[in-house]
Amino acid sequence: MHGSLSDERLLKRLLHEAEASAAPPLDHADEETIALFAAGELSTAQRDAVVAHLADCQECRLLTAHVLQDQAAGLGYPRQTEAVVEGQGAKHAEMPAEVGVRPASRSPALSSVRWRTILTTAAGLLAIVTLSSLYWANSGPREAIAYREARNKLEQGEFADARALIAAAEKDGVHSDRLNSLDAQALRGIPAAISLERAGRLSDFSYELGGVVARDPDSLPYRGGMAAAEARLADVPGIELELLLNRGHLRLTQGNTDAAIKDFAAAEKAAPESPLVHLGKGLAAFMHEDFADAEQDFRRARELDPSNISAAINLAMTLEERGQDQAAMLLWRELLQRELPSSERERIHAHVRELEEAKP
Amino acid sequence: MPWNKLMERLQTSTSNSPSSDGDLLLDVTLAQALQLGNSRAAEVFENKYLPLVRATAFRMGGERAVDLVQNFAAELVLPRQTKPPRIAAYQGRTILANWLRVVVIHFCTSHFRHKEAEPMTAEQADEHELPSGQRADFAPCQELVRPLIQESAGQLAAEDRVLIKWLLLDEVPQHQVAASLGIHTGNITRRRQRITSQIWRGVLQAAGKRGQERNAHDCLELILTDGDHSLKQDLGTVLAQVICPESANQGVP
Repeated sequence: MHGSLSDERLLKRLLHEAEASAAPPLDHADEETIALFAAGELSTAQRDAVVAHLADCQECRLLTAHVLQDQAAGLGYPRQTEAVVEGQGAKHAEMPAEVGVRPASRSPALSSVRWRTILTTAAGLLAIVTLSSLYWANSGPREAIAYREARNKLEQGEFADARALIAAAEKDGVHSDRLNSLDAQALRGIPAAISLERAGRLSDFSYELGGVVARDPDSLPYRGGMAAAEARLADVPGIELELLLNRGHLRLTQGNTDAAIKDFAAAEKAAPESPLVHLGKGLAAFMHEDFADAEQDFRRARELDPSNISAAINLAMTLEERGQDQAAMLLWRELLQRELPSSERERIHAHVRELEEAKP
Repeated sequence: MPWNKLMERLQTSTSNSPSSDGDLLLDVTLAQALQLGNSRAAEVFENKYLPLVRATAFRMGGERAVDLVQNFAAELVLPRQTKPPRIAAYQGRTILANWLRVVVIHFCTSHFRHKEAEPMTAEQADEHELPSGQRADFAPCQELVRPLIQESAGQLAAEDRVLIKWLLLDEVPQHQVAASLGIHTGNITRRRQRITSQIWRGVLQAAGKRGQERNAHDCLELILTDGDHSLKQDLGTVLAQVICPESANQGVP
């Protein structure tokens, strides 16, 4: 009757309507039970009882769905290894004794349950706290939250706010390599993910068309905060692609090509099919005057991303350096057929005219 | 032992970070002290848990939700009309951070549901855009199909009902559904297909029992038809007369 997609679309619509007209149950699972369920800390019998309730209670199912979605965002908390749930909670008509209900008024019995919990966990605490404090010192949810929030700010271009969030986290003793990397990006005022896209042309590193170094290095883009950013990234071992691209670009900007080559080589191991990795690698090779390697990497970047203008311009300049003027000319002409910023188009036009006039 | 001393002793042996297994004792103590109105406990809560509360709220509803939880410590300890304070419900069965996350999510979703209009689902939005005459065309079909769907879905195992609703209505990621139900992720797609077919089979069987299999089939097609409003209107009028003559006479212009 229906294809599977339309089956689900229709079913979704009808389930929604059917649910809207169903009478809600009188009792609900309490929030702690939902927390235990979402964390996978209930026994099979307890879990089945919760599932039976969720099947017909829209409110509890939606709440659980939100909690699961929140967990799926990668910010789940560690599981509790020791179950301390047996025999607790008020009773629900359809649930075993250990699964609580909401709302639950607090009785003196609950107070004694709470203090019994204190006593039962006290013995285990002493042995665990030392290990847990070591584990939580540099990782865990606070780091994840700080990273996520700072990254959001960075991506919105709110660099000062990103730095403030990182500083606040570090003041609380939260440190990580990726926070270092974010702070370095904020210091420079450019997210690593776009540094090579925005500033990945040889002209961004003082190499002009038809010649060599032409500009005052201080007038080049993204040179602010370089020393502080370098200090932030200097001792980071560098295993994440974003960090490697960020640091590689920074080092290119500083003219530290040897270090940049190492970063991009490591980045290539992490992501051999990334056009930005090959763009960075080609830039480093060009600045190191390894023009054959540079040509190879710019060609590879173009293969992986034919729309990448920086790779095409860099390749044309590299071909000229290698004396392959005809191939370079073809590429310049191809570039003039594409959408370019007007100033760049004029520069390429002028350069092409110079090359044509210089022909014997 | 005075509260401050107790907290100092406990805190010197734990990091100033969200709870892990061993912090349950501290969590329970903190909750009890918060409920007793201890100011030092409120301070510890603000420093240690409020960032988590704010981050969870942000993920639920952005800055608006963060504003809602600015005074969440007070929200937890203040009595609520006929109910005890929220913190009284924490019994130490899981770590405080886990419990807090659910409480914050519940608090934010309840607030948005009650204080403001609940965001419309795609289906509601679709329906919202239809002119009122066209909405009326669907009414007889909805009346016919709704009990069939309820009957068919009601025959599913509880776990299957939760699974299909999470996946279709709530858009919970498959791996989370699998993890919370204790089943392998690889089984989810097959199970989803099986449940969907089972529901359709159930709908048609239920319709057959009532002698309305053909009408139910046409209704499903009608509800699924998008874009062709004149077709919908024609089908709707015909079906309304066949299925519910009274509502057709009264409700369809």
